Amino acid sequence: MSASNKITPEELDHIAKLARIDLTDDEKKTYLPQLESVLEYLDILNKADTTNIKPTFRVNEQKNVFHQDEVKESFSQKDALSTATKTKDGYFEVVATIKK
Amino acid sequence: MKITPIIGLEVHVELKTKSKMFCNCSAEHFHVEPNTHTCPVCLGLPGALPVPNITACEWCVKLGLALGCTPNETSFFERKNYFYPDLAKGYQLTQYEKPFVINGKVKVGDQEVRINRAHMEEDTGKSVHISEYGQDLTLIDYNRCGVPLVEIVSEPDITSATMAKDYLLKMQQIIRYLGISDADIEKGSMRCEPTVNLKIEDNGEVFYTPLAEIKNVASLTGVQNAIEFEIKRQTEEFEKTREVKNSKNKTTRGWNAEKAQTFLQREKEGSADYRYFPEPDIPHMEFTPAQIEEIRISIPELPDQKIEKYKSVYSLNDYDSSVIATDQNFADIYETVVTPQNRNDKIKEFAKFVANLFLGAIKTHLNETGEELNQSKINPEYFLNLFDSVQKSEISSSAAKQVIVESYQTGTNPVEIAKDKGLIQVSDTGALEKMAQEVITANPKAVEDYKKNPMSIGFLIGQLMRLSKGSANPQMAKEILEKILNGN
Ligand SMILES: [Zn+2]
Repeated sequence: MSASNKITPEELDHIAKLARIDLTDDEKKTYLPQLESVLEYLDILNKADTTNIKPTFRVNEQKNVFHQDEVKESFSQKDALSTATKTKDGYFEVVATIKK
Repeated sequence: MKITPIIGLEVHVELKTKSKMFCNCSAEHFHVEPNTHTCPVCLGLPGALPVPNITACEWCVKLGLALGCTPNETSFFERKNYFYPDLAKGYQLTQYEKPFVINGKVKVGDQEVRINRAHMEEDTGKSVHISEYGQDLTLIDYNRCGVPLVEIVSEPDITSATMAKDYLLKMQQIIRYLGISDADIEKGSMRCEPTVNLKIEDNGEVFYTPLAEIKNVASLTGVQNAIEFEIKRQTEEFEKTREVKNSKNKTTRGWNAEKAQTFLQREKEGSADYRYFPEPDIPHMEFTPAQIEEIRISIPELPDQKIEKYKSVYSLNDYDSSVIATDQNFADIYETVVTPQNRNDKIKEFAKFVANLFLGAIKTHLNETGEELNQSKINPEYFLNLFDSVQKSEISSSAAKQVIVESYQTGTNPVEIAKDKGLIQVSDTGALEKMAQEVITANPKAVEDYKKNPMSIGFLIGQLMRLSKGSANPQMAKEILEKILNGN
């Protein structure tokens, strides 16, 4: 991470692209300072001395939680598709992901 | 200009567990009604809690151990974030910092390929691309979404398309021996992505061409052809542009099997763009040394060990040893017939004898019928009987080949079959002497010829064989004829 908490317009475009969202110029003006203030906050966290402190990944100390390899009931096809915007022949339908 | 290809392979193997990686939906997805094996976890619905499949995790460690890898003490899952409709959650659960196993190696011919890591992850859904009323659509089936996948990443130690093929075959063999996947490239349960570039030495200078990762290779010949194409393309490209590898010019190329060429796909997202971070909902995993040991013990004897054993204990040659070890079922059945205790003094002859029958007559028969070798049709006792008969010269080696297939099909003792077919050779000296005498008396001209030219004995042997209706042992017939003729 760079020490600077400035985000360039290009970086913002890249982040928006990774998140698959389209931003208008007005929205960009709104979000840029908001994101920068998040980074500023992280700068404060970065000042904490974490030498010799083990990283924390989660709030409890559990380990080895597994499921046994058995098949249990799944959704019916109807239920599985019930939240889809569009379906076809038992499939979820989406805009073409490849150009022919 | 000296060109050395540098090839690394990423191999994905779909494990044949009953249930999926993080839920209890059935992992079966081949020819299954679409979207009938899904639940909140594998559809990525809000609030769902993924719980890893213990069998899949153990199999990943097992494969790693079989590849000579070291297990990590602690291991955890991470989220690899990217958007694609076949990935329900918007991220794939995989391992990045701490895979289950690291640093192994595989023997390929007389070379070695280092394994960087083998890690556990989940498969994506399946996309079907269709056109309707002139509009292109993609249909998604999430039955495959969340099926356990192991990814095996090699170091770039492979130097040719052929070596890449041999590496994949070796990997496939090991995986099938372990019984953790069908590892079928055509069916997609084993997938391979080669990354290729070239080391070019020119006038004392060394250049490395930009890396290209090749996707969508769906067959073993496809892998070979794609790599060969890429080597040629990169050579030509370098001659034109002299461009060398840097941290930004790695590309992803698709493989078009019809046109037999690779094409530029999309710009490769860098690791940073995947924004990997530890999955907060799944606790870390730790296998104790005792558990690792238990997994290690469950690994069967692997092809390399079998080949070594065939060569050292049974003195089989390289070729026979590796062909027998190719298929575990075949090798195991061979070993129910040939065991170190069998015919102690003649174990090597016996092993070679059985190998010849297995790799000759029986394999030909299996190829014709398309069957697998069936243990219940192989009676080890019969092979011992047949071997003893051949040793005593009662049955010729060629007759043994003839009867063994019939024995395999009918379950009858091959020695009985040989008797029924009149294939038992007469090796009884008395009987042979009588016949030899008869032949000599009946063919005075041939006897004269023999006195002038001992090479002409073939005719008399032929007559004796005819008289015995083919049952005489030819070697003994020759010796007895010579003895009588020379003794006169
Ligand atoms: Zn599920």
